[in-house]
Amino acid sequence: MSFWRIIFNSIRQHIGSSILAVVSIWLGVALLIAVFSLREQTHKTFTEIGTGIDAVLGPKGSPLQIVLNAVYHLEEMPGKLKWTYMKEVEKSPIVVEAIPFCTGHSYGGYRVNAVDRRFLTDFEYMPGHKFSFAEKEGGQGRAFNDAKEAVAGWEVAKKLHIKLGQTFNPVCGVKSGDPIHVNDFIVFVGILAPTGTPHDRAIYFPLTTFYGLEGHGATTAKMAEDEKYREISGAYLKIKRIRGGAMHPGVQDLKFGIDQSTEAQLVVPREVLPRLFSIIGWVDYVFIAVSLMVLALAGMFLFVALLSALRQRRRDMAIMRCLGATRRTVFGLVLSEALIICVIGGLLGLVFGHILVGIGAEQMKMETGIQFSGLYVCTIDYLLLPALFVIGTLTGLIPAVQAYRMGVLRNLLPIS
Amino acid sequence: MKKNIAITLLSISVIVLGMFLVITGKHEKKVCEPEGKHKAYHEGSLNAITQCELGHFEIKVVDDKLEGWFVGGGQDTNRSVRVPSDRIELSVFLPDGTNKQLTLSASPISLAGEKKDDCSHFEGSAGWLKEIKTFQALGKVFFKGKWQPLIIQYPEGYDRD
Amino acid sequence: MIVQLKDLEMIYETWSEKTKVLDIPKFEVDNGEQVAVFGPSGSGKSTLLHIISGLLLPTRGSIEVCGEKVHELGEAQRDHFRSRNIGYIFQTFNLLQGYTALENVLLGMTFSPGKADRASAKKLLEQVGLGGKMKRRPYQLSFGEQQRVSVARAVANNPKLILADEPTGSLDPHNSVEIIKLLKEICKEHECSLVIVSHNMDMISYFERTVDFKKLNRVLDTKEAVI
Repeated sequence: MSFWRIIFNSIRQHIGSSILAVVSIWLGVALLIAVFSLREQTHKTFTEIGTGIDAVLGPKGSPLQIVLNAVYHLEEMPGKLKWTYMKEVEKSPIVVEAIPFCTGHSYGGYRVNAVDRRFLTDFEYMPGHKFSFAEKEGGQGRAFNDAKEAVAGWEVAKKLHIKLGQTFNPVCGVKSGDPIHVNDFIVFVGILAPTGTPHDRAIYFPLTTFYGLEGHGATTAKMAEDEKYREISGAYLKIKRIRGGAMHPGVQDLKFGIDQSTEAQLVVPREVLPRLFSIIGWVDYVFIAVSLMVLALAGMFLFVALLSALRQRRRDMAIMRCLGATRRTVFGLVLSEALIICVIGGLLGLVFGHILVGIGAEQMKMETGIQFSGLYVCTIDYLLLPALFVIGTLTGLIPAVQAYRMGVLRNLLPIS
Repeated sequence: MKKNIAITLLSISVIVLGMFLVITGKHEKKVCEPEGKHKAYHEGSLNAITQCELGHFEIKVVDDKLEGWFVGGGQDTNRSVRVPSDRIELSVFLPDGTNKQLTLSASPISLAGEKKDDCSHFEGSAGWLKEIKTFQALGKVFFKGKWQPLIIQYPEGYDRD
Repeated sequence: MIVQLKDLEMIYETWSEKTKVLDIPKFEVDNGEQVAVFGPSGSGKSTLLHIISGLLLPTRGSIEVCGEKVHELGEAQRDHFRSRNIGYIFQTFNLLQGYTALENVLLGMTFSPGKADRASAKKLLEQVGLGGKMKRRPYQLSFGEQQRVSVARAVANNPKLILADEPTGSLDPHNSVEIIKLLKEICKEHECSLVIVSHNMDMISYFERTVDFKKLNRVLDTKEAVI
């Protein structure tokens, strides 16, 4: 009979408490994996998406709100800014181009943003990545040319079953119950290839369409014709690069100058995002703390279970010693049992945690537009087995030492 | 025996707490300036105007050019303060004992809507600026409704407090 | 000689007193011999077996078993010695309740050098008449059957010496006889020596060489147990 067989027989002998120990470790580990995987993927994706945009020229107000709206299509812009001001900013020697946009409409629960056509042709949603309509990449059709045309993000098209040639009436607002532009029919001429970013969750149409929608009033309609009166929600700025691909350092002076004005502010997403993470950071810590507590409780449960099992198995240990097992052997048997239970629970938790993320990924993508993956390998994946080894050793150590120190003769049944 | 059990339970808790602290310790580092030290937005040196709570004149010397910004006091060093001058005259005292004069001309930030006599940004240039690493300067400025002495210590900055 | 004991003394110490339980000037068992040691309960017979097997070290004296000076070995060395050379049979069987009959026999081989041989274990169980009950656990076997499993386990590691401590103590007369016969037969077949201790004179009569423990252990003879 092998060493491992003896261990599994022992686990089988107190199968109830063994299973409970495995399950509690499994749950603790699964929770930890899910929390870490989601946390790291969120940070990574938010940062990657954010770094695709050099800067956003926006109205005065919360910089975080501007980033959330311009980059992630959440929230609303805190105001408007003048087209002429944007043109002034565009003259700066370090600005390559400024792509204006107007937000505030929706369709089927998804944002409808008015953009300059260059958004579809020049804009990099992530460093080195531009939008595509290529069929081989999952896109369809083309960018809009005409005022009454629109393109849909991949996710929107899938969820709303959008086909090319189909028309829609944009809603003037982003909340349910907001009025619909019933006499404005915009036709879908393109579906963007998936980008894995929140841009998949929006619809885009021309700025001229925005100004000309019925119900916006004459003042807004005038904006289409005369730049002097034109207002926008914001503009994506592309900043010159210096050697090494870094953003031109003059962006800080540009930001200083714009921020001093009463008109607008310049927001650099990569500077604002850490603030976002620090706001929600405490939520992370709460989840991590809960997961670690579950794991600690599981460890303590295992410890108590082993101790209790050892008391019942003293005679068995004594018999094995009679048959020739050394003190080290019985020590190893008890310790190995603890390690095996920990590792089994841990491995199950590892798999289950990733499955949890995978299952939740679809729902989370719908809510945030961010692609999560159940196959993402997070920090905890690397730390887990060593940590379980340590916890297993710790929980098994005292019972193992007790087995080591156990007297043989006094634990056998009475004899003559 | 009971002591050993307690030690084990405590050890498990310590390990788990340790993991928590290590994991959560990798938060973004905030740039914490020591209390009382204000951050120069343009990475120049801050010179308090009378006292640092009133305002600052941040200066930066690159090659033969000196740039200066009038900014707020306290932590408001990222907010410009406009002065109704189109030039600032400085008497510069060099380490070798010589004196020089330097005129800083208004360089309005157009995007902020500044004009020549309503401006926070000033520039001046002189060949001798290229050679020096440290200097002191004196001038005056109409700042926040009052004439204030302008004392400059470069590169360490000036703060009488 | 498979067992040679000389000037053996065993003294148990407590806070208040010392008690000498064994004082044996000489005890020997020849290779292949089957010896029955008889004496009253509580006389120290089991202690003698513990010392021979290396489970206990005497206070004084020399013990040579299977050519090894057991009293000079460290604890781990005595454990190894026991796994290789000794088969033990207990009065109360001492089978592991969570293991089947087959697994109990396999356990007898586990701690000795060489791989535990499933086929040999099955053969042993067949030999003791339990070929059809290999997968039963001890609580599913009668006392007699349990003791048979114990016998099979004791020879599983091919020992040179089997020590049986009151092997029939928990059995009825019929099973007792069966076990004694089985034990003798198995020891003869496996060419191992046997030392059996018992207070049951009926069982002792099955052995050619018997030793009166009262005469062997001077403590009992002189009644000088408490020092």
